Amino acid sequence: MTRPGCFPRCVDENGVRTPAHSARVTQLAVAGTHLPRGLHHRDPGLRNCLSCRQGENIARHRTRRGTLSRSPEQPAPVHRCLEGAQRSYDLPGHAGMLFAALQGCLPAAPLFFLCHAKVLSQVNTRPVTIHCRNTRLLQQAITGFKGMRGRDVESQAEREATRFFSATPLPGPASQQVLQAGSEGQAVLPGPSTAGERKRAGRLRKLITRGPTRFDEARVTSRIQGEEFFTRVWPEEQHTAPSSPGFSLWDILSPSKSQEKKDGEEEDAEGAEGESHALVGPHPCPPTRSTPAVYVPLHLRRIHQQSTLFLPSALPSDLRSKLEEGVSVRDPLEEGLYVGEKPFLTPANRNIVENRLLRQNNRHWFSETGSLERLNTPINEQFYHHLPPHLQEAQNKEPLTVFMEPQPIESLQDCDEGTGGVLDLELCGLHFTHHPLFSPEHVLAAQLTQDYKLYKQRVNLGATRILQAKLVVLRQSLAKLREAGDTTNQLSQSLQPRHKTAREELDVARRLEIYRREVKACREEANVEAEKDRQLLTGLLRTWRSIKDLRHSSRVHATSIRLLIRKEEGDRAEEEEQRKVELEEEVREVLEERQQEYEAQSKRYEKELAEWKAEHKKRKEARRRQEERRKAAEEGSTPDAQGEEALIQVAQDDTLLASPEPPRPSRPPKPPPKHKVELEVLEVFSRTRKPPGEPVVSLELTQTPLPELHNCPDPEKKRRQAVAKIHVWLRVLVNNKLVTQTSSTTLGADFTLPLGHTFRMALSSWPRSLTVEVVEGASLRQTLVASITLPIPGCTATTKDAPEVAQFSGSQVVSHSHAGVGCGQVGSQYGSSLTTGELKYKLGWATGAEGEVLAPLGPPPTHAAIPPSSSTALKWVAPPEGGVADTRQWLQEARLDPNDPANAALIAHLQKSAGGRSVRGGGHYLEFEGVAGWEGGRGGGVRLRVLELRDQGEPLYRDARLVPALETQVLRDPLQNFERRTREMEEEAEAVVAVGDGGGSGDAGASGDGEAERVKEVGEGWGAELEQRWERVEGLLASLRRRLQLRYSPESAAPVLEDLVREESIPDIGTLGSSLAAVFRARRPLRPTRRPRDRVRGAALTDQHVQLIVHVARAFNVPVRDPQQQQDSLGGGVGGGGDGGCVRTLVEVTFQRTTRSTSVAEGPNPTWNQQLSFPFRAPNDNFSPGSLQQVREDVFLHLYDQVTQDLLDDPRLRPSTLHHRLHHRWLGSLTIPFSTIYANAKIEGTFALEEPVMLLGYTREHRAAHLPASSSSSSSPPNTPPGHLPSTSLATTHLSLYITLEPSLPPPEPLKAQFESSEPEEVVSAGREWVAALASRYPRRRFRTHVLDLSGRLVCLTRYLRPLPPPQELMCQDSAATGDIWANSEQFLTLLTGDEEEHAVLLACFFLHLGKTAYLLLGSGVPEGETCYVVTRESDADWLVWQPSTGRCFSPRHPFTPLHAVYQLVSQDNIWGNVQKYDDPPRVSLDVGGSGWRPFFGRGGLRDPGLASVQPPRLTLPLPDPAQVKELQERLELSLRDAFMKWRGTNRTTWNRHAIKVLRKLVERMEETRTTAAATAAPHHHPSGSSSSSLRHQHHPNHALLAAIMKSHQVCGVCVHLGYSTAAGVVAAVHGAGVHLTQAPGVEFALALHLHPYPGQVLSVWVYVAALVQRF
Amino acid sequence: MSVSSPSVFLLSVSGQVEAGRFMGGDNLHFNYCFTAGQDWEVVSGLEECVSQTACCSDDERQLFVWNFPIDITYKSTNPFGWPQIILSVYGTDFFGNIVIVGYAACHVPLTPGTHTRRLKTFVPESASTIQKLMSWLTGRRPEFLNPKIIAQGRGREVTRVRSHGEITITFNVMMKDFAKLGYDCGAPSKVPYLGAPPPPQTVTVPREGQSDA
Repeated sequence: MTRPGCFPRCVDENGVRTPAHSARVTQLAVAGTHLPRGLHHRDPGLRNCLSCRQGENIARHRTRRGTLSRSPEQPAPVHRCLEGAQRSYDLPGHAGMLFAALQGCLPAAPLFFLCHAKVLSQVNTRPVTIHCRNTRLLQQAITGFKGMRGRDVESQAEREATRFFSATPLPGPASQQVLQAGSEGQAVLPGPSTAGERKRAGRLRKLITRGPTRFDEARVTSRIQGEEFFTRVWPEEQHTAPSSPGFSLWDILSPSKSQEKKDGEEEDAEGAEGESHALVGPHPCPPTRSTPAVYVPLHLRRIHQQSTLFLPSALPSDLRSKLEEGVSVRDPLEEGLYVGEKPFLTPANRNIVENRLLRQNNRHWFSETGSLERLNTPINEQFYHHLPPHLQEAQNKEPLTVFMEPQPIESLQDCDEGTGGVLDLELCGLHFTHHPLFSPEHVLAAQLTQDYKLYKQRVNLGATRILQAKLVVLRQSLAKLREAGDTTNQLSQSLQPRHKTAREELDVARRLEIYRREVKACREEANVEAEKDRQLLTGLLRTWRSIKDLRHSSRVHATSIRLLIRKEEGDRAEEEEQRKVELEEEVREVLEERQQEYEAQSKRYEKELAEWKAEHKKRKEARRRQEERRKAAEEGSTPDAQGEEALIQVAQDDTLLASPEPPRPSRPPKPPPKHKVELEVLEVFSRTRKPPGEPVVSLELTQTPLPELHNCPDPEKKRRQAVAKIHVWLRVLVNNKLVTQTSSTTLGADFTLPLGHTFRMALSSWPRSLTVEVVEGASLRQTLVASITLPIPGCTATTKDAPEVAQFSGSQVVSHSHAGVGCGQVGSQYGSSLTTGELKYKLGWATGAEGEVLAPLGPPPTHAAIPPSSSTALKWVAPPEGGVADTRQWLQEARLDPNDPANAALIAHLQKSAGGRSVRGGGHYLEFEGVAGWEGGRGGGVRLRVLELRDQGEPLYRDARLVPALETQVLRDPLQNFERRTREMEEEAEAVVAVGDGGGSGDAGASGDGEAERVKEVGEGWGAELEQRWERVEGLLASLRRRLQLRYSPESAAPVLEDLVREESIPDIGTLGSSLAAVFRARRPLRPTRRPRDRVRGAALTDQHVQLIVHVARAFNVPVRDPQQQQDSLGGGVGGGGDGGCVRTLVEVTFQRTTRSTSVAEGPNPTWNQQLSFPFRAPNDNFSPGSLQQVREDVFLHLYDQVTQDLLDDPRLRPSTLHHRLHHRWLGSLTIPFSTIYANAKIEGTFALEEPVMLLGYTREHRAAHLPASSSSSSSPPNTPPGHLPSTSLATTHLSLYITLEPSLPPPEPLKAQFESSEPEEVVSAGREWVAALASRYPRRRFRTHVLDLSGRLVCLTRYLRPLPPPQELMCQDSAATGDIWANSEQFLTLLTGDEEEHAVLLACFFLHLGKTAYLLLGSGVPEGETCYVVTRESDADWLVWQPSTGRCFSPRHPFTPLHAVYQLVSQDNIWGNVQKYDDPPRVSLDVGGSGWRPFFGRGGLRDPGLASVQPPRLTLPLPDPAQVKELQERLELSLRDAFMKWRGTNRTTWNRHAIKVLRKLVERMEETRTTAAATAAPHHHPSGSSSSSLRHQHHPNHALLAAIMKSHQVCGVCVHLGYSTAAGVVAAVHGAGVHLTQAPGVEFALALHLHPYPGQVLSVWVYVAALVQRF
Repeated sequence: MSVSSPSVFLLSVSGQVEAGRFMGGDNLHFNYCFTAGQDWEVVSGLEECVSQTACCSDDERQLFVWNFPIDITYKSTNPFGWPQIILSVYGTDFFGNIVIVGYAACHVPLTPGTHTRRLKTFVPESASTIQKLMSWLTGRRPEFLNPKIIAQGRGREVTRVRSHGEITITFNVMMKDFAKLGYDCGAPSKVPYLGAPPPPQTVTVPREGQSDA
């Protein structure tokens, strides 16, 4: 016996699908034929059964062809294993025909039966047996089959008890039969015979006809067990059948299969495989037993069926039967309660379920509404966002802030219109609700229309009805509650008196109270609504009546309006009855309420009265006492014995009596008697309800055709003519500019203007206003009726389907002589109103091709309309401010329906926030824990952060290679440090900018304090702090610059073709000419000129070898060895030891850790003419200008004297042996930052060297100094530029250099972008013009009026200058910063970093304060390129030029100035551009009053707007703490010594303590002498250009101190002076002096360091290093 | 780092530049170079090579066969900047000048196995007709300043190129530790080895010679 439910679905060989019962078929077949075991496999029917048995598997594994055997003897059964449609018409065989025929003739319920009818037939078998329980079906089947077969069909249904139908086979080959049947089938069955079927039939035919078929007489019976598996109660013998021993199919199959294989018949591989699959498929069914077929007579079965089966009807069931007894149907929806939306279920299915349940008598499935109780549809309209857990916990604050991923708004992204948008305005129609040409009837009609609209709205809303229904329900509930309360009271009293708790009672009372209140509120509300309804109705009717009167009186219809009134008579008696009931109920309620009110009042009254009585008594007492006292006073006896208490008493009495006596509380009025209440209620009823018997009125507004014009009376005719004459059109104005207008049309009789125009407007930005003007005009004149301002749609608003309505009203006053009523007239009956109307329109941004909203970019203006929120039913009543308690109260008072999903979010939120119960489960809060390894999103992870930073080109990570693949392997500390530093830098930047903006409001001091605090925190000392700050400032400047670049150069280096492709340039006439001329050119010209090099773009320079070429030409005025000292100097020179003034110098150049040196040249003016080249490595091999600007390396040039020491001890060996030691002594050095070289492409000129302040053992060649200029010039090479003549005044060593890059790198493009500026616009534009005008005339001179400040805004140059009181000393800080950013002096001093501009500004400000005429000079100089100097006027024609970064000054006439060109001068209130012919300083007249200068302000240009200075009024420069300075000094000295010893490497370093002591003394006086000398020398010695560095050791007063040492030792020392930036800088400077290179045996060293503090934490460092060798 | 948790993955590429077809030009040679991102490092093998000069075959195929081996192994931590091979083919022109004949670039295949790539090559065009004439006369055809440009996307918009021929490369790609580091390279694609010469139409050409950088 097969188990129901596990039948494999399969298709038998004829394609008849035998769902779910094939196993049974198998069983029957086996049972019926009783074939011997071994034969089973040969039996096609059985094999079919096998395939049926495993139909599922066959369906999967076998192809359609699916023959099991191809032997010619064997019939070719076709297995059609089709999975698919249940109603498969794919039935090419006989049974298929039959099946189809059955379906065809039983259209109504074919499936039910066919599903259970098993039609097993065989193509090849003679008789076809059909088992069918259903006789009707069988009859039909037989007829169908007969029809198909045509003949030889014999019905045995009547004869045989089994009622099977057997058809004898046709004579002739089966193939013919099939063919015949197939063709017949097509003919017979019009419905199911499809093309597919025909095709398959054809294929089948082919298959069958292929081999000659010789069939056995096998007779396969097909039985129909017309029984349902699911519902049937199986007969006893069938139940027992499985237990009976027998052979199962499974038992048969296994050996047969093996035998089959053994036989080795031609089995094609596919078939075998399919069969094996079929047999040992993954889910073999349990073996089934075969039992003999038992037939139960049909009528018995039918009876049985009727008793056991139930077919639920699909028709709706009776409502009454679904409800419990005594329960009335109610609809909560009608009562105004929220009923959720149920999930959709087809009515038929629902009815079936209901009927089934009813049949089981399960009424509890049904609700009061008489429908199935179902849960609401679980699909939630709202999206619930999962809150991160940390927010969930701490969310008692409102409103919640939740991090949301930024999401790009598509509309903004895909707008390709630039920044503009496309606005669509559709004007749908215009309708006047009042117009001067209205006839009186029109006015009334308008009113009627309006009222009707309202009426319709109210009717649709049905508020009154809902409220009344609700009232009824509430009353019922109240009554029920009362009843329940009574019964429970009684019950509890009678049964369990102890359990009746006060709580329950309270609860009931509270609920009663609530219900009562509710009923009252509901009743009042219902009354109000009903009254409104009544009023509206009566108003409508009244208006209609007056229209009718009017029409009647004027005998014309001016409007087409018509009100249809439908009356519905009701049953008067019933209504009266109902009314009476209602009346009674209401009266009762009102009475009750009044009574309660009265009780409450009287309670309160009693309480108040008691209070008042007590008070009154007190007063009485007081008065009495007062009276007594008065009497006592009159009698003259002073009651002094009473003392203090009495006094207090008196005071109390006085205050008591002074206050007015409160009035006696009045007794509350008695509750009104019943008849009064009845009257009241009756009155209310009369207002709100229709009197009984009055018909129910429903109204409808319709239109009727208007009468013709000639029927009208004269005034009306005139009016109509006027209406016909008038034209109305609309004008659309955007930003008060006329954009478009509609065509003018006449108004219809109903004063509507159907428009239907759509205007599309392309707007460049957000419109400020959008106005539609209604204009009307007759022939010539036109009047503006009204203008309507439309709200500008929000950025996502597109045109909607429903038009919006804008009301408008005009202001004109019109009166007409004809029937038109006019408008705006005071006192007129109809024409008192102004012209009004409404415009229907649609407004929104157009959508693009991909659905994006074409709104303008940028934020919408504030007055743009917020897009109206989507249809949320909840009208948001803003909860009052003030926290949870209020909200809770509000929630309670609002009494929101908690079932309504519109309120769900609010309620959940409120409950949650009010600390109430848990959130009403609505949404699924999916917990997405952070998926490990996911690197997107917020946070991301360390690795991702590192990758991001690398991508952004952060210096720290720019060169990072092989960033670890795993998160855990990335080093966190550097990243954290970096982040921290970045943060600090940002803060610092803000602080610095704030200092500038604040204009010196003491921020500096504050920051100084902060500094000091931080120092203490750090605890490492002040120096470290300074160093840290230095680092930070460096980073800050870099980030500032980068930010500027980012902001203002979107694509800093967009490549051009030359960057990518190397190509010959087009020859033009110039190149052709020059190439021709090259033929005749001298091969070795006497004066070669430099050929300009091809410009090479940076992007192409990857992997190229860029070289820095330094051409060292010569030096002037090199100090020579002092002959006096030379005699006893170290070892005695070999080369120039003899003659006193000899020096053997060489230049050592260091760049990027590569050091090259020139050969040695002799004499004070040596000439090398040597070219040194250095490989240049760009950072990260990136040669783009952006990255090249970041290169912070310097070219160091050191001038050394090479001293040769003879180490030979034995003079006898001298002729044959050389033993020398070379020793370099530092004479001076020069540092040129790479950025300067890069910016200028080349550097050429003569530069003054930084010299040691003290140079022991050397002297200047005095002979040269005293020579006349001519003689010295003769000694110079011929091609020296005229400005570079060594002169008598030359006190320092100068070096002629030419430095360039090969190939030349492209200079950085100046930022041409428009910067923001806080200046007045006219100043900025005037500046631009001024610069443009000058630059066109003098292209080589660079002019500018505005510069960038730290915050990246343009600031006028003049604003930088302001007299500033200098501190006692003025000290400048050298810096390597290069950039276009100008800081003001306070920022400069806060940062302690600045380039020439900052120094110059500060210096100029100080000069101004000193009362000097000082200008800022912008020009070009060496080596800094574009630079800034300060010019002061000493006397009329005497000027001094100050180099601010070094503090040197010189006359402009001086030939050796570092200043090369003068471009412009800036003073406190003006800017002058150089318009003279020359710009080299000696030839420039610096008198700005002259014609050679073109001012920026004044003289035809802009007037001076009096710009305020950006400088603070004064600088507060805190002096550093001496103790800290001391500490830093010690530490520096220590680290210097350590470094020194390290440099010495393996050599031992001995320190000479005595020398150190002496040097320290020396060094401490250095600063003092320097400043005093500078202060005194500068003004007086200016023609000779003397400067602070003119101090020479020969004149130094402290030189004597050294004398003692020099007697015993040979001393070679260097004094280095620099501004303090970092310890590393100091160390590098000392290293550059090269003292440590001394290799003499027994050499000792001395090192002394002094720090001189200046205000503003500027430090001057003096280091004296000396090497001492003991004299022998 | 222990064996169980590798910190880098390895990509080994071998194969050969097999043959090319070029219209015009003879005596072709090429050089190839690999570029890869910052996180990639060559473990062994040659990053740049110059091939021998090949002459056109005498038969109607007009083929230039180099059979030039590629063998390089990378290690990396990050698939960003996947290695690309860049080929620049040079040949002699009418006057015997060595001129550029074609550029091609392609990524190393992303899945292990044998892959054949048929790269279409291109050369930059002269900016103007007169320059074209000049370049033809002088034998200095326009060429990329740096062939690695064609492995990038940036700045390519300013160039104009003409396609000129094709070149066939076979890669044998092996990978190690990709799965351990969480990268799924998929199953090896079953592109048939080109040893048996299939008709050119049926060869799967996964991508053009262009790079998408």
